Amino acid sequence: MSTQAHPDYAAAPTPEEWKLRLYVTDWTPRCVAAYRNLMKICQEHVGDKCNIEVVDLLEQPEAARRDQIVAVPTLVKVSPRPSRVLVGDFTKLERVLKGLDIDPAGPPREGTTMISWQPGNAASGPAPLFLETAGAALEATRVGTGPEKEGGTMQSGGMDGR
Amino acid sequence: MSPRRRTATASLPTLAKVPTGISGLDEITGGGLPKGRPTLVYGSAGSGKTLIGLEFLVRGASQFNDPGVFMSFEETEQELTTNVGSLGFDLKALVDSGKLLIDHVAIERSEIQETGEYDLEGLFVRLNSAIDSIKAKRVVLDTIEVLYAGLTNTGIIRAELRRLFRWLKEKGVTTVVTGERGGETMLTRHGLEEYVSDCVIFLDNRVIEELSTRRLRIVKYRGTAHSTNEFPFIIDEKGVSVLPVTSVRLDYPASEERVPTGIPRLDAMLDSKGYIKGSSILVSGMVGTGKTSVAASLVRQTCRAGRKCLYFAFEEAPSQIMRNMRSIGIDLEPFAKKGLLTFHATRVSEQGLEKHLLAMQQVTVAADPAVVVVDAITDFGTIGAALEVRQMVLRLVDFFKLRQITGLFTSMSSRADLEETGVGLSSAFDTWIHLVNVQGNLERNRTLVVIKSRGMAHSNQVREFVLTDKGVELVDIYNSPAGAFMGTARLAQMAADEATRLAQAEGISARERQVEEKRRALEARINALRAEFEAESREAEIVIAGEKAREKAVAAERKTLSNHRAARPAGGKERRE
Repeated sequence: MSTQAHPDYAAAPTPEEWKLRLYVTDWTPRCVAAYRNLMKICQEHVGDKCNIEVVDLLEQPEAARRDQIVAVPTLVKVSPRPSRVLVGDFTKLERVLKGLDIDPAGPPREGTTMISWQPGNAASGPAPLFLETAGAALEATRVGTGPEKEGGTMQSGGMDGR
Repeated sequence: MSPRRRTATASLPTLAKVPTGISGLDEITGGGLPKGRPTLVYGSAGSGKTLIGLEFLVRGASQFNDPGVFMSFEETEQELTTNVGSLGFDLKALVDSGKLLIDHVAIERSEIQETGEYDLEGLFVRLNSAIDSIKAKRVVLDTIEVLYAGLTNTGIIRAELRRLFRWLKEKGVTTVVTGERGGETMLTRHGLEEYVSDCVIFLDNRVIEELSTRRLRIVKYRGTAHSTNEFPFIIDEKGVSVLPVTSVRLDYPASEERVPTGIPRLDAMLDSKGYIKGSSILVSGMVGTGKTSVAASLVRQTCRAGRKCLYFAFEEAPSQIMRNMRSIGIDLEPFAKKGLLTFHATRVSEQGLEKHLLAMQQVTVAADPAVVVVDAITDFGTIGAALEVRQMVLRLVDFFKLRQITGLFTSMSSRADLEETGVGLSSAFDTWIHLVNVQGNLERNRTLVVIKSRGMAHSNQVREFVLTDKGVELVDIYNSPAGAFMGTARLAQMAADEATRLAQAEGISARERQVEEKRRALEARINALRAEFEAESREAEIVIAGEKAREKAVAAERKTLSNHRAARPAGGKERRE
């Protein structure tokens, strides 16, 4: 896997481009619920091209220290600025929207949501199946699957938002 | 303890403990913190919680080879490293060598939007990975209560903290959790004591009479008999030191060796041998009764024997003490120059009681003396409450005793008639010498009495205490049929008595002379009579001899006559005669 697969990480994002990072610990029911809720919100309210990077802390424990993660699930809005930190399973919609600086009164917007699954190491298996199904339902594209650790490197490259 | 009971105790499982390495803390906890369990250290801001936690890890890593994880919720690694650099803790070196891992957890409430249910699995992951990465045996969480400030859902935090401490126990790491002091109903602000129930330590930083004093108290220690007292502690360039280091148990050795007092008559009063080595001596008395001179006598005696002395002076400068003592013939200066005598002079008000106590202990350890003089313990009364001073002196006494150092403490009494120690401490001292100035006949006289002296038969007599130009001398109080006298009265009475004695003595000799003369006269007469008698007897002998000669002549004549009358030849038988 190389950076060319998703140039939006390497290049400066356009104002329309959203970059979110979701920290989970394995796929506990709460994390799955959070993921599904987030997908729905992105689909209905973000509209723009939305890129969600999923980090499993159990596979990348060093990411927790590096990115100052305490609560799970945690969502970091890397771009557009300002960066935001949201914790919880996204059941309280108005708080999610407030946290993402989205006007809840605004009209629903069209857009695509891309999921970037970041395996911590070569030994980790493929992304959980529901990512596919949820993504399919929302016309999401799954990217970043692969045995290399490149994903982790890229992810730390995107830390400038913090 | 009976042998049977000891066996029973030995067979019981005992609580394993992890030494903290913090000076004094292991002594008062009976070995350290409960192994594999969390300990709560709480106190108000600035009470030293973070430092105790950090020292626990630093000592663990450097002295016991126990790697440690410091999870800081308040200060960054850089801040911590700088803060404790002045205490001689090189965090960077420990971090670089993999003995210490510092994880700064930054939580800002303003940054975090809570959108629903969550857990603190991220914290668990961080802690777990930190512990595993350096195989940590010790963990410090400082201060985990910050979570309450960063996150609003207290229900989740409480549940997660409960899970965290259970998990830490399962992990088998010895944990120190710091917490802010709470209000009236709770020890800590957020009730951390609810989760950490094995060992709870309270830190306090009080200002009493403008002097700040830090204190430490073990509120709870499950499965361990612990002291409930408050112990002063200090933070200095060597880290945290909990005081006392030694006075928890009364198990110091009892010596039979004796230490001469430097005042021969005082030795005589003390069983003819002097003080007992390693004992504590109190010399009390009002101002100007000669307390310092008793101390200086001991110092001179000890230094002359080639042993070291340490003199804590809280009233006078060393030069002044030496000058004053020189005036009564005790020259301490040569000993000071030779290094046998060390002075440690400070103003009492310079620092708090704890710092004084610690400084005195450190100086004592460095000087390693045979005799220590503390002049005067009553000075501490100006910087601490009576109870605190008492505890401090008690700790000092214990400290010296444990090291078999003979300690002489002077104490200024406020009233002459009371045999008071000044700090209400008589039981702490083995020997108590009291000095009183007695006024009468327009003069003050010094007296000395041994009020008590453990372990020896001591004199109960009051002695007059005289400062000569050769040092201190004790004089028997002069007893005469007219009463007890000292000072000039003693001298006057002695002179009067001498005069009487002389007069009497003269009377006796006059009589003796008279008799002698009579005897001589008698002898003269006897001699005269004897001479007369001898003369007479010689005359008589001459007469007697003459008579005898005449008689012989007559007898011879008569024989001749009778022979002539018989006219017979010689041998005839006719006549018988």
